[in-house]
Amino acid sequence: MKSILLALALITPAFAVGFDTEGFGQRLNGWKKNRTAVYDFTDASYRTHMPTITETSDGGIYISTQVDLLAFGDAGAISHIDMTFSRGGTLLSAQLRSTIGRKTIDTGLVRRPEEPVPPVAVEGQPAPKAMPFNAAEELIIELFNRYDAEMRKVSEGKDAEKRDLFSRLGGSKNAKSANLAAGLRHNCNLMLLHVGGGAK
Amino acid sequence: MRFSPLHFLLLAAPFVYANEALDVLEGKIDANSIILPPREIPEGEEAEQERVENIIYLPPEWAPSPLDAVWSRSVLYDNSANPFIQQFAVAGQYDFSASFGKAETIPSGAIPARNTDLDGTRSRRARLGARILAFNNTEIEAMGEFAGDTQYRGIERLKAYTQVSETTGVTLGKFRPNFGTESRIEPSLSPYPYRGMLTNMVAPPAALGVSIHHAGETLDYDIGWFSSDFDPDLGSMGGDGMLNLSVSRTFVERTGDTLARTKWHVDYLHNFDAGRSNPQGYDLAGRSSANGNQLIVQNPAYRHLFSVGMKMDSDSSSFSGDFQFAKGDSTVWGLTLGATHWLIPGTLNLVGRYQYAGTDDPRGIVAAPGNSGDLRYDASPFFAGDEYHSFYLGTNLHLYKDSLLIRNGVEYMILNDEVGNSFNTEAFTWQTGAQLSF
Repeated sequence: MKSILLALALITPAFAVGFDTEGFGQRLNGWKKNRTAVYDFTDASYRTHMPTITETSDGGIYISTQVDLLAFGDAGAISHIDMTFSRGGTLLSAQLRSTIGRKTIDTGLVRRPEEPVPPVAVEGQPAPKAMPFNAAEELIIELFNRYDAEMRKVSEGKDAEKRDLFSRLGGSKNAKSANLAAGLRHNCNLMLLHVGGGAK
Repeated sequence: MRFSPLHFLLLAAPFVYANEALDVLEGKIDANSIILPPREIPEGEEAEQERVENIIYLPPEWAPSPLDAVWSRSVLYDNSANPFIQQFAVAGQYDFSASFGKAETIPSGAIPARNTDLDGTRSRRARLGARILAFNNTEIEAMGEFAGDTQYRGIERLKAYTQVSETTGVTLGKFRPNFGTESRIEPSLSPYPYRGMLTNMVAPPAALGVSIHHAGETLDYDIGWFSSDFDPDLGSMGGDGMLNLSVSRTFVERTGDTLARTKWHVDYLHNFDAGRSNPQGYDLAGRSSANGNQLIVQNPAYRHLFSVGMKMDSDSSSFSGDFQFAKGDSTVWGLTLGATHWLIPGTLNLVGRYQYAGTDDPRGIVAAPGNSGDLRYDASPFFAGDEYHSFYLGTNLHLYKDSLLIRNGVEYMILNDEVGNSFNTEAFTWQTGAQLSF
């Protein structure tokens, strides 16, 4: 009986999804003492906070992390990446939120798309080739499509911005000029890579 | 009432669209093929009100700056969860100004023309204090003034504002009464090197008092009582004091893609102690003016003070106008018009101001061009007359937001003395300065 329980105890975690926080941090220049990682990506500096991971009722995990676009050492924009994975490591949903000054960008919750129905073969004609479909990739594409659409509203908004002389001479990127979406995409990709079992 | 065919058509209109909705649901017709009637837009004044109602003007934000990390250190404690003290911050302002120029008094009678040197430098303001947010509804400000002589140094303000309800608040302590556009602007945020001449001359300084503010649906009301003991320190509560009444209203207007906020005010001050209280605007009795050595016999006290004006702010510009009238030992009136425009948003601000003041009383106007703008701070040299004009044009270079800036400007002043002894004076000065505040 004991051996069965031991075997179950060993087997169960092997199937449950996990997240490699250390590995994620190493790809971002390493975690510092204050549980953040600071790194340069494309044209700006970012600071990623160590993710918070909670288990969901069906055995999956919910991962939430904060990504700051740094401007002169302070957060020029604060973003949050939220992802939910199934017990088997399948990406179920994701959401991006950014606060830039007084404005907020929110993609809303983007759910995993349904797999398309395979085309029906017609007699006498060659069977149509099914297009490859990657639900996780489709979900991420939809997520960033929404994010870009919301970002355009902020960038094209009529809100004027004042930049003092030191700010102009410093030349730091702000949320409107930096490629914030690319920085968030980088974080999303790394999060997907470090989910135990690999995101599907 | 007789029904015409047109009436029947109008009555049937909603049912026509209802039928089409059913057809769409049943799949008989395509939803895109239905042409809906245009949305009804009310015409005239009501329509305009509908469009501008509930629009809030938010001034442009400052972009992040390299000195943000330094300035943020002025907040020593910040914890919104603490029920007693939510924030404690040190606050201060240092203002250094320099003036170069001269005043030219034309000859009058046997007295020849005279030039007065206006060159000089001043530590105009050196203030240090604290701002405290407490009990989730109270803001306490304490500010000491360390510039000037002993007649000026002291407690610049010590006040507590408590929000007692959503629309009503009470201010208690030593602070300036509501009088004119400038009383509503924090001194460190004023784009000009000094306050308006007429404000300096007639507006009472900070005094112990209490003021109740009520925000109505369309109008804001303020009613206050202030001691007329004007003391560099706290002063006393003796005497009948001053009554302060204010009504203001804010409009937000849309012009094209830009919003502008305009705030109108009407202020009235009644000094019950006029003639008995200590000097209200300046203390120059017994001294002589630089134009013609004209003796100032007494420090005038004003019983009635009235101001009506406005300030308009938009993303790139601001405009202010203020008419003031003061009646007491002498009667004076004047108009101040100011405008600013960002040549480079956030970096270079073009600043202009025109001031006019008039009186029927000889030597009813006392002005000190150059560095000595505030007569309570320093009035050497000063000039007396009955008609005043001043044109100021300058630029403010903002190194760090509104907190570190360099001012440069030129001022041309005309002071006529026709009712007095005709010692008309013209002054041209270049004024420069630097200001640090936190």
